Amino acid sequence: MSIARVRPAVFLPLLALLVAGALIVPHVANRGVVFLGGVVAINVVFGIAFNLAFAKAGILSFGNAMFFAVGAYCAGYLVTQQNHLPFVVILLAAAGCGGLLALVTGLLALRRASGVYFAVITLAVGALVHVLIMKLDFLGRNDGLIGVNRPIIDFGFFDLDLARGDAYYYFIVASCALLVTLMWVLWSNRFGRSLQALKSDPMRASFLGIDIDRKRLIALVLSGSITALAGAIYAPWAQIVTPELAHWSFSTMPLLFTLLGGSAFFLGPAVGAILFGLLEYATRSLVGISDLLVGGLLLAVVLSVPGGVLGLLATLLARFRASSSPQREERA
Amino acid sequence: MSTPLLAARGIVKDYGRIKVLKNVDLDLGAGERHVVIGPNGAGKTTLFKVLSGETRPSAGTIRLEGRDVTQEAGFVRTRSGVGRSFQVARVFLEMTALDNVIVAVEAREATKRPWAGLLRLSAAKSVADEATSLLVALGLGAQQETPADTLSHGDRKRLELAMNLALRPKLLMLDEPTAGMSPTDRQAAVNLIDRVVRDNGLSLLLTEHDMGVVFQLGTRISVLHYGEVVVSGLPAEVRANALVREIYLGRNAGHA
Repeated sequence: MSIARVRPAVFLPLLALLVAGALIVPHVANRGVVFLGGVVAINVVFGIAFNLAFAKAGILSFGNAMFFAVGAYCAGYLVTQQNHLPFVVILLAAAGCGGLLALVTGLLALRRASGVYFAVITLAVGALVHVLIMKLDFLGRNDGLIGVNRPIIDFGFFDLDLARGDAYYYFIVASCALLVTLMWVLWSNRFGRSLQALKSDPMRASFLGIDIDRKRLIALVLSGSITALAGAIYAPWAQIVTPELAHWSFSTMPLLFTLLGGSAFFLGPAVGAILFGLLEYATRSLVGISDLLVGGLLLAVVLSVPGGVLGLLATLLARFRASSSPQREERA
Repeated sequence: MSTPLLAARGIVKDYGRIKVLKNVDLDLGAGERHVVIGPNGAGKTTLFKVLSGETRPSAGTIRLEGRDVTQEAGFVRTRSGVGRSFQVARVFLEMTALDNVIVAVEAREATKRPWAGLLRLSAAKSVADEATSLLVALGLGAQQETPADTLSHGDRKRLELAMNLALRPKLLMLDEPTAGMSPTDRQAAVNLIDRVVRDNGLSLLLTEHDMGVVFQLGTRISVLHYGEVVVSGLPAEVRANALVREIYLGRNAGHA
C-alpha cells in the first residue's frame, strides 16, 4: 500500500458516517446517552492526537492527560473568570497553552530520550502538573473549577447560544469532525510521510536532509495543542473541571483507544474510543465489576489481536479477497 | 587549484583512550573520485562517519566548498549537497520502493520550500514521476510497488542510491558499496556507480575493500592504516608504492 497515494474516497465517507451517527444520537436517545456521545467524540480527538505522535513519529507520551487538563483548566478558568472573551479566543488560548507545555516538555526531553525513557519523563512532568493544579488557588485546588457554563458564540450578525438544548453537543460534533479532518491532513501529507520516515529509520531520514529533532518536536507540539483543544471543548460540556483530568492514569486512555482500534490506522483510535464508550455504557449498572469487565475485555483484545480491531478487519478482508478473486489483494 | 569540494584537515577521533583516527588529511576536488582503502579496523568507517556528519571529530576541521562544516549536523551537510550510503543499505523497510524515493524527493523539496504543498495529500505528480524515472534508471522499474523489506540486498543498495540521487547531491559518499556481493553483482554495481557518477556529474568519495573495485572506480586513492593516511595519490602511484604493497596489497593480492 502506497503512502504517497492518498484516497479521500475512503476516509471522507467514513468520517461522514461517524458524523451522521453522532447527529442521530440526540433524536433517539436520552440526555445521559447524549452526554456520553459528546464525551466519545472528544475522546476520538484525544485518541487520534495521541496516535499522530505515537504511530507516525514514534513518540510514546504518557503526558497526554496533562495536555488535556491544561486545555480544560485554561478554558474553565477563562469561561468562569473572563467571560467577556469570545469562546473562539478561549479555545485558541487553550490550544496555545497545550502547545507551549508540549514545547517545553519536548525541548527538555525529546532530544535526550526516546521510547520508554521519554514516556517516563512525560509521566514525571505530568505528575508535576497534577500537583501544581492541586496547589493553585485560582484553579480551585482539590475541588477544581465549577460552573463552567456553555458559552454564547457571537458571530456578529447572530448569536449562537450553545447553552440551549443540545446546541453544545452539535458544536462538539462539528468541532471534533474539523479537528479529525485537520489531523487526517497532517497524517497523510508530505509532513506525515516525513514523520513516518524518521520513525522507520532516523539515521536514513536525517541523511535525506530531514531535521529529525525539529520534526519530532513539531509532532509533539501539534499533538499537545490538539489534545488541549479537546480538553477545552470538554470543560463546558462537563461544566466542571477536576484535577483527575491531570492524573497520569487518564493518560492511559488514548493509548487504550489506540491499541483497541489499531495504531496503524488513522481511524484506529476513533474505533477504539467508540468501542470503549459502548463498553462503558453496557456495563454501567454493574457497579464494581464494571471496571473489571472493561479491563478484562480490553486485555483480551489487545493480547489476541495485536493490530487492534481494524487490524483484524483488514486481515479478514484480505483473506476474503484472496479467496474470492485470484488477483493480488490490496489492503483498503 | 580551486577550492576543493571537501577538505579535511588534522582529523582526530578518539573513543575514550582508543585513537581511531590520528591526524587525517583528505582532499576531494570537484569531479574527483577518491577511494579510501585500508585493512579492517583502519578507521575507514569512522572517517566516513566524521566526514558525513554522523559523529563529530575530536579535533580537526572539515570544509565543504570552503565553508567550515565541522560542527554541522549530518542533515545540514546533506542539505548542502552531500548524499551518503551505509555499509548495510538503510531504506524505509515498511514502505514501497517508490515511496522510499518519493520521501527523498519530498525531503529535498521541503528544504527549499518548507510551507509549500502541505495541503496536498498525495505526492505531486511531478514528484512521483521523478521518483519513477530514478527507479527506472537504476533498474528497479519493475519493483516500484514492492515493499522494501522484500527487496534483495543488492536491490536495497540500488534503492538507497536512487534515494541519494533524488537529493541531487554534488558529492556522493558510498561506504563499501559492494560489500557482501557476489563477483557478478559486484561488477554490475561498479558499472552502475560509474554510470551514475558520470551521468550526474558527481564527485565521489568511497571506502572499499575490494581491490578490483578500487582501481576501476578511483581517480585518486588514499590508504588508511591504523588511523593514518600513509599514502595518497593516483592509482598507479599507490599500486607501485612499496609500503602499500607490504601493509595492504601484499596480504590481499590473492583477492584482487
